[in-house]
Amino acid sequence: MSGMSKLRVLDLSETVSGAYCARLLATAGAQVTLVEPLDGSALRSRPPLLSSSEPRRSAAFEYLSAWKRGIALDRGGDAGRNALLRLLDAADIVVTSMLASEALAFDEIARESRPALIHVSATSYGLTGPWAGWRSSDLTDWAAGGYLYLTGDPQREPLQGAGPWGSYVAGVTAAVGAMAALWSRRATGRGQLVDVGAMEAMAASHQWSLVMWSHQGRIKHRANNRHAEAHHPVSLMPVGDGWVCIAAPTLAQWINLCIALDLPEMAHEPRYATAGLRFDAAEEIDNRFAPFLMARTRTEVVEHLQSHHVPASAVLAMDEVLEDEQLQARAYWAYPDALGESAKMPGVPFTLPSAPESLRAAPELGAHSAEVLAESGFSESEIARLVESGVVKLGANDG
Amino acid sequence: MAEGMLSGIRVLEFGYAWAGPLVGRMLGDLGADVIKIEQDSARGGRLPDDPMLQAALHDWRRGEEVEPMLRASVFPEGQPGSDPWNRAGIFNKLNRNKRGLCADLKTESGKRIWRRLVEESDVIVDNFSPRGVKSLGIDYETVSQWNPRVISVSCTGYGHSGPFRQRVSYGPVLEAHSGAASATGYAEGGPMKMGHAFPDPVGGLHGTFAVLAALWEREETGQGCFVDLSQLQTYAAISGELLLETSVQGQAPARGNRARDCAPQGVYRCRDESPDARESMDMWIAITIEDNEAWRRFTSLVGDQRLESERFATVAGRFAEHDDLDRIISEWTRTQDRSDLSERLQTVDLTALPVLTNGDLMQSHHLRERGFIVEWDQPGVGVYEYGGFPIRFSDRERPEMRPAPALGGDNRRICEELGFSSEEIDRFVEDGTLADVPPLVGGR
Repeated sequence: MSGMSKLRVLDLSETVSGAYCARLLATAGAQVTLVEPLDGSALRSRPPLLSSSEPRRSAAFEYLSAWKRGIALDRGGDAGRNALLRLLDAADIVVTSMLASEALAFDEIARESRPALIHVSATSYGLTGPWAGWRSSDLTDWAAGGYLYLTGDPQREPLQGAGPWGSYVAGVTAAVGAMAALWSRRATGRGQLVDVGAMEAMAASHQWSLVMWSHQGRIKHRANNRHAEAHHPVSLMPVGDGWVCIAAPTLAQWINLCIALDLPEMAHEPRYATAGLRFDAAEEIDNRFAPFLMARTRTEVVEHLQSHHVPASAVLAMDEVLEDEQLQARAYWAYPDALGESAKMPGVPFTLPSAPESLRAAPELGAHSAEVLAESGFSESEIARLVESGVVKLGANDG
Repeated sequence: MAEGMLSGIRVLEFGYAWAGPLVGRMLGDLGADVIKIEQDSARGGRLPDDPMLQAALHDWRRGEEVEPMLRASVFPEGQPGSDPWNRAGIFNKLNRNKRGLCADLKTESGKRIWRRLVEESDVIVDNFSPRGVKSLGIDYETVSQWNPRVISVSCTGYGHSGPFRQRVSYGPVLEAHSGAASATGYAEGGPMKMGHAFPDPVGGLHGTFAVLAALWEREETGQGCFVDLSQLQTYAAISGELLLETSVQGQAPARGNRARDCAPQGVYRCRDESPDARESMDMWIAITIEDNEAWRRFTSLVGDQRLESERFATVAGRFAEHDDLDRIISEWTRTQDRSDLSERLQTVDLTALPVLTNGDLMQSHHLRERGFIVEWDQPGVGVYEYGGFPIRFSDRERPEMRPAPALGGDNRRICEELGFSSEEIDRFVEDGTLADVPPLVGGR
């Protein structure tokens, strides 16, 4: 039963968090099957939508469903429900993103004759607690996790991150939970419900703000592109042709930075002696750094600082990241050809011995319906009956 | 002690800053025996008696400004005490459920201890640079000779290969390099970093998953492995659809707080009130109106004639007039309490949430009811609350919370378990291999 490639995962989720959890399991070698309703997963219409195809495909779906096979199944009626239960008989892990009441009811039914089943639920608030039934969006996930308040200009409204990153953090947290539950099952023989909420996953991803409250009663505020309130520079700074990030929180890095910027006299000035003092003097420090930085390009500044062991990078636009030589050299990208000649996306995030070798692009709706049903013990006539009665849809190239 | 889910798994953690220690903490919370291995200077040097420092501490009171040199450590009540290396909140919150070994692995004695540890362990986690890994002698090439079953997960910034493998980084540097910082920002402004070093927890959580997947695979193969985890890659992975979109469309998504497919969505100012902390706090609510049905419910709740105009009846119309809408909605929210308003909106199935601060999170009824807020008695520090473990298992008790180890706090015990005699351990202390205080620094 052990070994990643023997793991069978059913992905019933229609959210970024559930889909990313299942994608991670797939990139680690597990056999993941996406179970979609007959009109397709809600993720298929989630922005961003790509103009390279008609109807427009969702970049989110195409990215998150890579390395998964797909079956289209109407779970509403008895036949569909029974088919799903039979698929569950052959699964180790099922990933869902249902509303709390629905998820708990599903868990009860699914577990009835399958004590070894691991049910991973990835939602915004988790399945219990006073907010379990509350509605959420990417933006409210940012608000719930406490990151929204911390990001942006202190004089303006708080700012969300560019993507649904709270959901991604919930997704990877859920994948950790799935693997831990497998370990537990190895000892006990029992599966269990693994309940992950983006709010908690993000709250657990704070740097020092929670102890700043419990140990000192202080609120952590926004600080624009600086790293409030203890360090400087750990910030984005303008240079001649754009922006760079310079991060020099330690004394040694501060000294190296001053030397690199040809301002050695700043290295030992008492008013910059500690990280917090440097944060308080950030405006002044930035003004003194500006002439050197503004006279140079991002590349010049970054290479120069890195040669002095000061952590720094250019602020790259997304299209520049796609051409980045480091990611290219590490064979990071996967190429979903069907989405256009220029299409590329992150592939396997890190390589395990069990990782799949080449890309399996996201499935067309129902692409593997017959194959998956046959593997789960459905006879040919049973499959034909499910298709005829409209419970299962076959993909264009299936059957 | 309750049996943890990973009991029987031993992890050696060489964690620095945040990502590496987070891998250790997650595994420790799950019940693995995590040994944090530190050099004596890992938590900074020992400060000499400093009158300025003492005076600053004397004046400090709860809720007021903390003397700048002490901020980064987050000491309880701002007090570093006589052993500040064991009292920093930022360290202790990240290193619960671990044991502490403070050893110089480069001495002859240190090499003996290291080899025995590797022979007795399942997992080695680091987040040093490739150069640091090699110079410390903890590289996979070395350790796999002693224990072919060992799994080594190295969570570097850039990875162990490629032209930038020797670059040094922190989380914000990777935000810049991954495109995330340039994609984030106000609509008409420049790039923006996150309020915390977000690539760190993202990398640490992926690292934890990597450990567990590699362990599961080892059950089948009997073989350990090396996992070369680049935090640049794990951070870019959470922007997968944005990178794919850019590759196809040729341009990056728009910045700001708005949604792509519905309107209005925004962060609106609410009535400010005095929080428990003795400082100002601005109050905000995040609202998303997903469709026309939701818009109708919203307008009837607000009761402002201007919103009932025909030009706002469609998504396209609301997008076109988003600035105007934001102004009208803000006028309304400005007089309301953010928590009451969120409740009222959620009651009629509208998506809204207060923009929670660090204090709100720690006081959240929801997080408390779910058992996320935990506390433990940290020796020399006392009982304080912390953020807990983010996964609820139906078949397991919540993880036990054991305090973070003092520097070198488990030196003797661990060496005994490895089979070293009491005399040998005394010698390790004498020859400077084992320590439990940092080296004295000359000045600050």
